[in-house]
Parts: sequence; structure tokens; C-alpha cells
Amino acid sequence: MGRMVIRINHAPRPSDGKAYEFYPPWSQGAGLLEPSLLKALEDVVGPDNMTTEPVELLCYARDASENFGKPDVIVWPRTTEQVSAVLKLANEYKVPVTPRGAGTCLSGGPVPAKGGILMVMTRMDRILDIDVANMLALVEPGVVWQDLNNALEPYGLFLPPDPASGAVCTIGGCIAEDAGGMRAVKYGTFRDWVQALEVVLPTGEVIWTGSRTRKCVSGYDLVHLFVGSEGTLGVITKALLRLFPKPKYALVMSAFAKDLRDAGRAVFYVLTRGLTPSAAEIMDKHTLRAVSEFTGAELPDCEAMLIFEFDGYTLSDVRARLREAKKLCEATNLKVRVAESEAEASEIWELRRAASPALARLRPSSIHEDVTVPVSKLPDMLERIGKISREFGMLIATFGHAGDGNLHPVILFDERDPEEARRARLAARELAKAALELGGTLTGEHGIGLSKAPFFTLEHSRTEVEVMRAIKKALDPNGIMNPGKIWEAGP
Amino acid sequence: MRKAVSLPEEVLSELYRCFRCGLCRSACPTFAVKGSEGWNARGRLMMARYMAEGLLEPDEAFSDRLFSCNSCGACEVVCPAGVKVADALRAVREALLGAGISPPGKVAELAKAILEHGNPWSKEVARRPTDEKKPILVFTGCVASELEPGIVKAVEKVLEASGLSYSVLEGPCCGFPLFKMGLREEARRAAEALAGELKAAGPKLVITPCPGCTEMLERYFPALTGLKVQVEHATVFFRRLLREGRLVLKRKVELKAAYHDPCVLARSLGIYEAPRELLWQSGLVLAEMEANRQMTGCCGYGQLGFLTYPDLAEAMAKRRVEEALRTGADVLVTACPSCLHAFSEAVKEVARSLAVSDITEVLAELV
Ligand SMILES: Cc1cc2nc3c(=O)[nH]c(=O)nc-3n(C[C@H](O)[C@H](O)[C@H](O)COP(=O)(O)OP(=O)(O)OC[C@H]3O[C@@H](n4cnc5c(N)ncnc54)[C@H](O)[C@@H]3O)c2cc1C
Ligand code: SF4
Ligand code: SF4
Repeated sequence: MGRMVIRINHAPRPSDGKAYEFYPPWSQGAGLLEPSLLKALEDVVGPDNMTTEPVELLCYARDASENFGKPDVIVWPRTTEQVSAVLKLANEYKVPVTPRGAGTCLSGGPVPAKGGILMVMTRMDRILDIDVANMLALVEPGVVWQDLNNALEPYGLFLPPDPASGAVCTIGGCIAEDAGGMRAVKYGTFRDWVQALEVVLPTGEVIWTGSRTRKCVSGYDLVHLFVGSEGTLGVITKALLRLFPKPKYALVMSAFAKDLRDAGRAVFYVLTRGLTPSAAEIMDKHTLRAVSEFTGAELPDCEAMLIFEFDGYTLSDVRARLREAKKLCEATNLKVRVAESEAEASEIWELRRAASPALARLRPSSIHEDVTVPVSKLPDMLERIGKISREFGMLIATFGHAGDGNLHPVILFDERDPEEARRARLAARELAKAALELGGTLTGEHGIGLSKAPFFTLEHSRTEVEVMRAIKKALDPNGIMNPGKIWEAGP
Repeated sequence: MRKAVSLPEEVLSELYRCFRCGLCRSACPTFAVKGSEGWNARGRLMMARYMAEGLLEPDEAFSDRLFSCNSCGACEVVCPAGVKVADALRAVREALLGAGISPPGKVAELAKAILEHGNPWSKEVARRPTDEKKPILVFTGCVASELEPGIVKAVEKVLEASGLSYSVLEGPCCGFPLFKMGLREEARRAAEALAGELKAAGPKLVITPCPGCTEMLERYFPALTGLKVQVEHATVFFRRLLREGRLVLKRKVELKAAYHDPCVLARSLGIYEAPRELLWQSGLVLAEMEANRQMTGCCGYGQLGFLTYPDLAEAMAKRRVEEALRTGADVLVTACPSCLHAFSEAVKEVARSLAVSDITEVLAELV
């Protein structure tokens, strides 16, 4: 091992000596793992699939959220048996285990809040079976979303939920976070596409739950207990996923609204007329300004831009729905631009894709929120975001999935300025409250993790939390599985 | 305890711009080989940040991860935050060395050889221009000169066939690898030595088969040495000769060719089409590799990675050869002495049936 010194201080300071309090005081890695445990872990996974190198531990201390927690050891299991053996050891030694996929989570899910073993699933990455006749795929959890969809392409099939991190995120992570994406308005989230799972329970026992059949009322629906459980109830080691025929055509249009209420009404009409858009995205004026500066695209002066996509299997059907949507948008005072060619369509998507990079250029740090409200409350939520932004003196730019009320307000700040970082956190809390007041939820697709754990009881009653606790206790008697997350607030 | 290495504000803000989305996992070739985040752009930027924050004391493991980034720029193409990763990491390496921390052993050895002898091979300059001034100077770069002399012969043959009068400077290193690795002072000294030779030869145009030399002379020489020279990569110059009718290809080869875009030539200099046009003119049928043009995959030998991190470099070269095999090509063509060397070594182990060639060598066969 190198000659590294890790200072165990909870408030790291930058070299300029400025107070620096951004990292929440999660685990700095206890370094307390017993040598006999490390030896036993190495016997299970082999020396090439394990590390305690300090630099690597630090690289695995974070995901895409603001959270920090250093593991004490990282293992990369290759088989279900190895996962099981590691969990048994963890129970024996009472050491936390945190599963991790690609670490793209935006809420701290794969961050080992209490140190211990970080179990990275990326080396279990085989596609085991593509069952074309039944439109099912059996995969290991470390398979990258994009790789699976590439493999399905020749069969004319696809796995519809499309997280924007698809180029790298893993199927296991997507299931554990119930990931969605732009197409969720039509195709739903991962929840709707997981049919059966192999799970290693926190005690090390292995279960297969769910069925190869589409319909199944045989017993409790455990599959969907694990979907969205953020790695707190067990480790997913195989997933049987539903697939869908890939649409042959997709047409796109953008629509600009001078008034947020008009944008809200347009979305409402398009959805309620049964036009089933495969995307209904929104970007607010702050996002648009940044995008326009970033890409050089000229955009009309407006409060919000909507993007609708319609997909299907015959051109006439897709075209008809697009035309109808255009009429509805125009009737609600929106200025519509239909993409007449593939080039124009990709220009529109280019604007949407530019949202994140354009905003990232404005300030050094950002918190990506994930508040979700009933679709009818969309304009109210956007107005509340504007108000919170003014109150806290923070730039908050919003884009997101208008079709399912899932907004991503991005709070922009400089985390090296402790005052500003504090205000950013407060603003995040206000955003959460606003969403709940409007009948919404803290998170539509990014999960509670560590980031939203402090707000959890704003949304859930004590009794409901007790039920969750009881389920957790039943499956994980020693509390070793990804502790500190969801309802276990605080370090 | 050593004090934290401080970084200039513009470098810090570049590091902070990375929001750890992890999308670079799909691009970084060293990550693809090593499989853990410390060898990915995200990990490297995080470590640099930790270092600046005083959370991490630079050690050998850190230096290896930092210096094994060969500035290929693949991560920058996919990065949604537009982080200038390669430049930022170069600046971090500079700061590390500036704080008195020594570079990894192999890097130090390389720098020593270049400074003492003008090239990594500890050999004297192989060939200097004649006293008679010529409008064109062929600068071979150090890799072609020592490891791929076929390229030098090919360039000369093409120039002769085009009826051009030229002189050759063969042997010295331009300092590019040192510069990219953050050894700025050492790079400057190597560059100055070369600038002296170039000034003495006084050509109107320098042409080189090496993308690294092209970038170095064009972009960094003016600031490092005060010398501004007109420089062109061989593919660009030869395309011009073909278009102007000065270079005529007498024969065609009818083979299926995969073209590997060298990362410096493609991503950094934006030269994708010149080599493809030459391929097409040669009669070769182009089979595009999956990762091409801006998205090209690094061969691993760039920045002289095969001397500093040989295992990593060889693994990267093999991956790229395997990609080329998947196109069903008969020959893997590239436009860089380092890439060519990488593939010539890799095919010995993974694909004896695949021929490898530099585009200049293809042309030389046909004039
Ligand atoms: C740029 C960017 C864009 C994004 N876009 C979207 C989007 O459009 N929609 C969306 O929903 N999300 C999005 N996300 C969030 C994130 O990418 C998704 O949640 C993704 O599914 C996480 O996958 P991962 O492999 O990175 O998992 P990780 O981040 O590594 O882990 C996520 C959670 O899953 C658990 N976990 C991982 N593997 C397993 C397993 N095998 N068994 C049990 N638990 C496991 C972890 O413990 C953790 O709690 C985005 C993130 C980024 C950075
Ligand atoms: S420049 Fe290349 S090697 Fe360096 S971090 Fe980026 S992708 Fe990896
Ligand atoms: S893609 Fe860019 S922002 Fe994302 S982790 Fe890599 S360097 Fe950071």
C-alpha cells in the first residue's frame, strides 16, 4: 500500500484554508475491518476483484450527488454465490454492505454512508438470454443499459425506460432506483418492465421471485418490493425484463409558451385526448437562456418550451397524432415548430440534451432535484420554483418530464462558498415542501438515498414508516444492507 | 506532513465543474482496461480535487492514475458538463511536479533520456538537413525514426514521386509527450533544442507523419520557443498533392481497410477526412470501426504510454485491434507512427492475419 495519509476530519478544507462544509459528515471510512474479514472476502472473490487501496476507496466515496462516504473495502463479485458468501460474512462481522452499479445515482444511494463493504456489481455483466418469442431478457445486474439495448436492436426489440445516463448506468441500479426517463410518459418506469428477479437477501439466502408469465397473482408481489428499494433490501443478481417491439417511426415538435398556464394546458390536452406522446418535455426560461447561449440557437422569447415526440409503427398514425397535438397546442396559444426532417428533429433534441451542460457552465456546483407533482399542478409547481429561487437568491433552472409531472429543478451555486451551499440546501428543502403541498412526491425517479432522507417524514406518516421498518427488519435483521438510506435519516 | 498541493483557480473550477455523472465510463480507455474508477476521468478529477482539499496526500497510486491518462480526450466528447479533462489533468500534473513531488519512475527516466539525448532512445540525431536550404522539411518525430522507419521511407518516396525537393530531420523528440504529461520545463527544453535545428534549416513548410509533432509545433511552439513554423500533417499535405495532380497513384489496392483515427489527429486537430480521402484514392474500401472520428478509441501508445505504462498501453492496443477485426477488414490503416507501432505489436498476439499499415506506406506502394 502507498504512503497515503487520510485525514479523518469531517469538514475538509480546501487548500486556500476557506471553511469548507459541503460534504455531509458521513463515513470517512472507519478502517476498522478485521483482517480476518478481509482475508475471508479475498478468499471469496479473489485478489483481483477486491481492493483496499486508499485512492480507490476515495474514488468510490461519491456518486453524482453531493454525498460522501468512504468504504473500507471494495469487492467486485462475479457470481450469485460470491454475493451470497460476502453477505453471510457481513452478517457474521456485522459490517455494512452497499451495492453499487455505475455510481450515477443522483441521491447518494450507492454512497456507503456507514463505510464497510462496497459491492460493485459491474463485473456481473452478462446478458444470459434474449427470449424473442416471449419478449423477455434475462440479464445480470451489471449489464449497462445501452449494451442491452444494442443487443436487442437486431431483434427489433427494446427496453423502453430510458434514463439519460443510459450509456453507462446498470440494469441493477435502474431497478433499485426504479429509473425512468423521457419516455416514461408513455412507457412508464423500470417498475413496469421487471417481471422476475433473483435476489440475494441481506442474510445471504437466495430467492427467485416473480414469474416467466406476464400475469401472476401467486402470492405477494415481492418483485415490486425490490424495485425502487435502493439497495436496502438485498442484492439483485439476475433480472427478467419485459421487452417491447421498437417503434419504426418517431416525429417531434417543439412548442413555445408565453405563459406557464398555457404550457400546462397544452400538456393536459395532449395527454387527455389519448395522443400518447412518447415524450412530453419541458424547459423553463432560465434553462432556455443557458441553452441558447451554449448552443447559439435562436429561441423565441417565452416562459417555457415543450417538446413532444410521438412514436408508432405506421407513419400515418404517428403523423395524425402529431397533427392533432399541433392543433391543440396552437389552440392554447403556443407557437409550434414541427420537425420536418430527421435533422430538424435532432436539432430539437440537441436543445434538450444541452440543458445539463449549458447549466453546468453557469456555476461550479449544482443540486439536481427530482420533485414530481400531479400533471395538473405543473404550472403551480413552476411558479413555486420561481418564488423559491427569488426568496433564496439562488438561480434555479428547471427542465423535466412535463408529461408525468416530474421536474428537475437544478439549483446552481458554488459549493466552496459555505453560505451559498447552505442556502442551496434550504432551497432544496423548500422545493420538497412545495411539491408535497401540491400533492406530489419528493422524488419521481432519482430516489431518496441520503439527499432526501431528511425530508422523508414530510411525505410519509409514522405508521407508514413503521411498516417499512418492519419489512426491512424481516429481511435484514442485522441492518447491514445499505444502512443510513431512505427513512434512516442522519449519520 | 506535506502541505496540500494548491491548484490555480481556473484549474479548480474545471475540477468542480465535473458533477461526477460517470458518463466518461463509456469513453475512457484506461478505465476500460483497469475497470475501477481511479483509472477513469471521473476518478482522476475527484482525486485531484481531494488533493486540493487536503483529503488526499499524493502518493504513488495517485501519481500512476494521474500520469497514465494519455490525454486522449475521449472523455471530453461525452462529458455533459464540458469539462476540459485532458488540460485540467495536465495542469494538475504540472502543479504536482511544481510542488516538488517527483513523477513516476518511468516518466522521470523518459524525461531524462529526452533531455540528455534529444529522444527517448538515448541516441544521437539520425539525420540532419543538408546545408542547402530546401522549401520542405520532413520532420520525422522520434517514434517513426526509431520504431517505424518504414514511414520515413514512405514519406520520402511519395515526395520524390511528386517531384518535390526536401530535406529531412530525423531523430529528435519535439517534447510533446513531456508537455502533455505536465513536465513543462523539460518539454520547453526539448522544444528549444528542436527549434534551433528548425531555424537553421529555415524551411517554408514542415511536414510530419506524427500527429503529436503536428500539434506541438502548431500550438505550443510559439509560446514555448517563440518559433512559428508552418506545419502540416503528412495526410493533409499529400491530399493537397493529389488534388493538385502533383501526386499520381499508378495503381490501386483492392482490399478492405479499417481506418483507426489517431486521437491527436482526429479529436485534437480535427483531421478526419484527409486520411479517408487518401484511402479512397488508393482504392481501399473503407470499413468504419465502431468508434471512429471524434469518438475514436485510443491505441494506448500516445504520449509514449508504451514506455511509461506498457501493460496498460498493450491492453489498449489489443482492444483496438479486436475492434478492427470485427469490421472484417484485411488491413488496419492508421496515420500515426505511435498507433502503427501499437498495432504492429498487438497483431503479433491477437491477429496475425490482420495487416497493419500507415497511410503513407500505402501511398508509397502505389506511386
Ligand atoms: C447525467 C445523468 C442523467 C440521469 N438521468 C436519469 C433519468 O433520466 N432517469 C432516471 O430515473 N435517473 C436518471 N439518473 C439517475 C441514475 O442514473 C439512475 O438512477 C440509474 O439507474 C442508476 O444506475 P447505476 O448503475 O448508476 O446505479 P448506482 O448509482 O450505482 O446505484 C443506484 C442504487 O442502486 C443500488 N444498486 C445498484 N446495483 C444494485 C443491485 N445489483 N442490487 C441492489 N441494489 C443495487 C445502489 O445501492 C444504489 O442505491 C441520471 C443520472 C445522471 C448522472
Ligand atoms: S483523456 Fe483519455 S485517458 Fe485521460 S481521462 Fe480522458 S478518456 Fe481517460
Ligand atoms: S463525464 Fe464529465 S462531468 Fe461526468 S464524471 Fe466524467 S468528467 Fe465528470
